[in-house]
Amino acid sequence: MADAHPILWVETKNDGHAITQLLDQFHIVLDKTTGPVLWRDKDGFQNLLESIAVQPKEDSTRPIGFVMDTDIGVDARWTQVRAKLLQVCHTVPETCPGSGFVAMTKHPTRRIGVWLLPDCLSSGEELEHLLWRMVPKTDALRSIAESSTEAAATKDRRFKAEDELKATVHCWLAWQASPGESFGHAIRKKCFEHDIPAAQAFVAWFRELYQEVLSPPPAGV
Amino acid sequence: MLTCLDISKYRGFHQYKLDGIARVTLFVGKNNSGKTSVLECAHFLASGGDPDVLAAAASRRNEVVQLKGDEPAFVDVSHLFNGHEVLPGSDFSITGSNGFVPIKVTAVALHEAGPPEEFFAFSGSMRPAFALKIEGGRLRADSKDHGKPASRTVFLSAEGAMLIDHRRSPRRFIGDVRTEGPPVVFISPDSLPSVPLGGMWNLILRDKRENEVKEAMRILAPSLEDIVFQTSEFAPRISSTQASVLVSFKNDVRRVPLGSMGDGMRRLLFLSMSLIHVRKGLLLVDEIDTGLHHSVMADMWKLVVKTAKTYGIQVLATTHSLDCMRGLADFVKQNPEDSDLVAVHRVDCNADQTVVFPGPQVVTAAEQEIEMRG
Repeated sequence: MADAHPILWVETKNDGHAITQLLDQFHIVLDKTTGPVLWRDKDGFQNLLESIAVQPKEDSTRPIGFVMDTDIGVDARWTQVRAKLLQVCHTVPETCPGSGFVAMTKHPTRRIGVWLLPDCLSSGEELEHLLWRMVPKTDALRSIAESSTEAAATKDRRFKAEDELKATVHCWLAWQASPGESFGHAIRKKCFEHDIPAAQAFVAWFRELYQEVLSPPPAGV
Repeated sequence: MLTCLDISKYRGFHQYKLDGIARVTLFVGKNNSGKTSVLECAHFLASGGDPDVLAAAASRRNEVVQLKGDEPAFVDVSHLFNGHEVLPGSDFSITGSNGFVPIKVTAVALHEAGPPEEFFAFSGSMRPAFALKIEGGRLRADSKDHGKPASRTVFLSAEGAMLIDHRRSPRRFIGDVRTEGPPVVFISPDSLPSVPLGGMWNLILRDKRENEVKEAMRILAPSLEDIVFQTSEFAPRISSTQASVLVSFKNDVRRVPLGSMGDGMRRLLFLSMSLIHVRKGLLLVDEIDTGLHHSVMADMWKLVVKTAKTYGIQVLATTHSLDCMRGLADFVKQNPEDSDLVAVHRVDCNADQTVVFPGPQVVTAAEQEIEMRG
């Protein structure tokens, strides 16, 4: 039986928790069981990618969304995503729309959305990049986290080069009032300044995709 | 091969389209979604508009009319029409791709049908009240109207009973005595006890195809050595197929009755025989998983898909079973070269078309527990 609630599909549980907390900062509260939108993870990118052409075919008219990273570059990722979307949508633009992709599927007809982290425009980025953008440039520990991570890598590189930002964010999180929180908890505890353009754009995409089940944003938000 | 099917006003369908029908297509969906109706339509189309196929479709569902207890029962074709009612003017139509001639079935008043050519003594107190005009399905061969769609008429009683003298109407839909069009076999879930396996086996023997049946069966039972149909006075009866078939396996000292092997083996033998029998034709299997343990599903699909591929057979089947769908996914995963031969279609007569899952998507759906059935 298809889900009674609309679903947002993400790569990992970590992503789901962080996105839930980010949305919460924008007054979109998602309950684990009552929604109004539920998130589920596909245990990795490849499953998530493959599911884009199949999951929307479940017997449901509920909106369905997918959030994925752009670690291989936004254009290359969009090419992969677009090939899957074309199996369920009539038309799909050749480049990822800056406001996120939202369209109707062919059959069954339902709204489908795809968001490429962090902002559908930047390349080679993941959730960590979005979070790092939420750390103000003026934050006293930001540059220290960057230089410390770099120094650690120089001394004894134990993480892959492409994971350097991930290490930096975790390094910075280690120095907060409650050290070493997960991304989701850190967002909830307002370690980050969430109200940045990329986050606003993501929330706007989310609102458009799930408009049927979301309350209108509070005045002034 | 049938790749598209358009159904109009047949049973629960209003206007319904099936695109992307594969060499082996599994139809899934909720109860009463129209899965079996799709097979019936394909059967009727492939039979060239044979009225016996309509009669069989109604008969399998026990749609019959009997006015008096001591009179014969006739199939009630009113349920074939959208809304379960047939009146002069009622119609349904079926259109296929790749050379299948479209069929339109229309109920017409008696005077439009022409005078009945037959006597209706066989029909007891039922009398013709109107007629079914079946147009198309095949092309006329006579010189006057050569190449035009053929037309034939069967008479109906006021109750919707199809007035065919069943004594003159052998079960051609199973025995396949037709000489035109592709061979077609329809296997219904409850057909096992009453299907003339012996007759089909005789045809297989005549055409020297018994080794092909054994080869097909060995996909599932590698140690199978032989299949023998007994011809004693008690064996060849249609209803005693269980007793009439003996099988042997390597290292066994004697042959054993197929009936002792359980429903699954009999079902698989029937499936194997039907596949070989309908070479270059169409095999329709309602609830293909019937009698089969979940552990043999992938092997069953291997038998079906590999045989269909080898002999140019199209197989359309239905199931409710998750195990059956997973078995198909397992087969596709193990045989990626055959993934294009396979598709799952979700049928819903309240929609206007099937939802299609091509072979690779069947694997994704199974691996990610994405519900294809609705």
